[in-house]
Amino acid sequence: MKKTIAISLIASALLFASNSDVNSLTIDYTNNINNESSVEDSKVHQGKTNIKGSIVENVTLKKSTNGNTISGVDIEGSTVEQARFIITDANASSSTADGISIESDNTITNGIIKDGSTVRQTYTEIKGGSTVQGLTLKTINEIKELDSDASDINKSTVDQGILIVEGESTVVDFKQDATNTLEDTDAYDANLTQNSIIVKGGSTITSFKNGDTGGTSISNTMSNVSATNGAKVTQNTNTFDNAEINGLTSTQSNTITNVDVDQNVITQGNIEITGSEIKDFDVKFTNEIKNLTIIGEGSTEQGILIVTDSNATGSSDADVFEIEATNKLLDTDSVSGSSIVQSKTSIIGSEGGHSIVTDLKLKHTNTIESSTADGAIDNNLSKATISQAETIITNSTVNSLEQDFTNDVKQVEISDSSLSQGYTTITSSDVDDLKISQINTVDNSSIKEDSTVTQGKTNIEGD
Amino acid sequence: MKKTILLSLVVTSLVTGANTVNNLTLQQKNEITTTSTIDSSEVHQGINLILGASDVDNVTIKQDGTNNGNLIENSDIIGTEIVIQGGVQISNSSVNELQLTSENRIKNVELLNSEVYQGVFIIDDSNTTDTNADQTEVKSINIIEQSTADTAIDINATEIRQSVIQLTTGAKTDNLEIQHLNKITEFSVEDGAVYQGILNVDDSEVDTLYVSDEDGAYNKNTVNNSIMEGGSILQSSIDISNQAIVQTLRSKSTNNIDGVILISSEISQSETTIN
Repeated sequence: MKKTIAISLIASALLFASNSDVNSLTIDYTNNINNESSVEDSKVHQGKTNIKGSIVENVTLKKSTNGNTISGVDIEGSTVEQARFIITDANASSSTADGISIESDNTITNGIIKDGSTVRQTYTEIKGGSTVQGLTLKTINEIKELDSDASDINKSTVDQGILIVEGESTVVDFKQDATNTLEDTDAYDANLTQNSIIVKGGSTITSFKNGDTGGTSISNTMSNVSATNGAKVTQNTNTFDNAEINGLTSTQSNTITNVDVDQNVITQGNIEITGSEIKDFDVKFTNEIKNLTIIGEGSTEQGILIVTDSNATGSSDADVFEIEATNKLLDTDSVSGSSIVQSKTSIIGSEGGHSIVTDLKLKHTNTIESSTADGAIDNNLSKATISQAETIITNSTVNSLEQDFTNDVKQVEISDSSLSQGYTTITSSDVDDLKISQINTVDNSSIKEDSTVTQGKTNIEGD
Repeated sequence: MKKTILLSLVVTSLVTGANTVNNLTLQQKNEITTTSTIDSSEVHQGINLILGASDVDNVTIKQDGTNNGNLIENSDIIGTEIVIQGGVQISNSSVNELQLTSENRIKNVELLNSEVYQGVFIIDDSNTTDTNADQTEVKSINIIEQSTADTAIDINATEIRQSVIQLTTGAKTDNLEIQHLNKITEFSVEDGAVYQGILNVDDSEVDTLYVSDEDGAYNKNTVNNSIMEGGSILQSSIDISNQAIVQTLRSKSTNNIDGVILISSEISQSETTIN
């Protein structure tokens, strides 16, 4: 069926001409594409909102019943977007905190996504020097019970819960709750992204609450994922590049079950800050990967913080600029050349650059263990590089850093591998008031064949 | 709104080359427990390195007490090139006010063809100073033991070094106090070497060096209830050599070998060399 999905299906799409002025706008919507349909080499938009060059106050977009639903539809070589929200060169504001409210349920069930398709659920862009005040997103994005084929999502890209702020835009009072689910779905050689936040190009966010609108927190789940040939699988990545963030709280739960990784990286809970100013951060991650098989040079990363050429500062409040992470790997097999990273913190000045970090607290619990309590070794790691709670400070100034790490490895066979628990390196930096408290445990395991186990190492090294 | 956040915001305090750390507190608990084997591998527990022109002031490293320390328990160590528990190396750096306490314990572990270090403190080409009245302190408790007394555990073709203090290659320290308690108990040692309380000042300067303890709880070297065949035990060795300068050295040690059966073995207690 060639482009027979008519424009009428895009009923909630708004396109304002320049300089429009809207004071109060409420839209209830239900968009369905159901059985007997197919989408091939096509584009489908459900619930697309585009505010461009306008002044808008008090906007509410709300699902009537089911929100956006695509059920029993094969998506092949196509682009499908559910709840896309674009603000360009506009001023969207509200006198009340929840004035601009977008609620969406986006569901795709009983179909196949394949052959270069792109599926986006809740994809929000604020760009072109826009100003947005009082924006609330509450979304449920679900792709589940796809066709029983072994590769329901094949060679395609799926994005759930994406926020991009760019082009010197400003956002004040932003709140987001999201549940992103890929369930009962076999994904093969597909790029899968859940809850990605990108702020760049001189943009600013003030009072940013990710997972704190009073409802559920950010919840990202995937099951039955086979990531091969460079496909990327990420849950909750935060990228701040030439940005300013004043006050960010974020609470996320990231879970991946039954996953094969080959020649690529699976990432959960990643914060990357480059050339930016960050103030008052409070982030909590719970990351879990269960029944993981790493083939070749595959990698997993959980709870990563990278600060490059940036200024990141807490305030006098004891709770701010705090990153709390619980990272779990359960039932893991690695054949060769793999990398497993849990809680890595890098504070870096690039060549000619410098980072300044003040009042940072890190509280991380990292576990590699078996899901059963019978004491049997259920994790086999061969030719692997395993790192828990590594901190690197280089070309930087750090004032007041507290690290509280608990690292556990249980029921694991490690052969021809390196395991590092709690490793801190400080080079070419100025560090004042550093407290490191760590408990590192290897229990009920086997260490053999030229392996190295390092527990609790600090390396302070000048040029 | 038209602001560009450039690197200029964060280039204000560029430090090039220098590496300084003030007020460093480390609390470390490292455990390997109920592990079937550590075979042909390396284990490093509680290793702290200050290297390469670093300037470090007010350092507290705590590896003992209720929630701290280094432990390997209920495991077998076979053909393992190196096992280190509780090590500090200061190299080509400056350290002021250092407090190091470590408790290193290997319990119910068979040792075969391996090399074990507990409580290692090395200063080379560095200055350690103590501007307060209390001395720079290095305290370590190093124990290799088993929990049941009825069966000796094998130590075979293995070298064990407990409390190894080395000042080498132009190290300078004004006040250094060393306390150690070393104990090996309930073992059958064959073709192995045991070193307890080794101090080596080589081409270095020390103003005041105390290898003693007022309350007597530390600075004891003990091997008891064990069998040694074809091995050696060296307890309390001080070696000052190669144009080293030591203004004041006070050493007080108690060396015990108790209930030990020695066959074709060698023992040396309180060995001092000034060369």
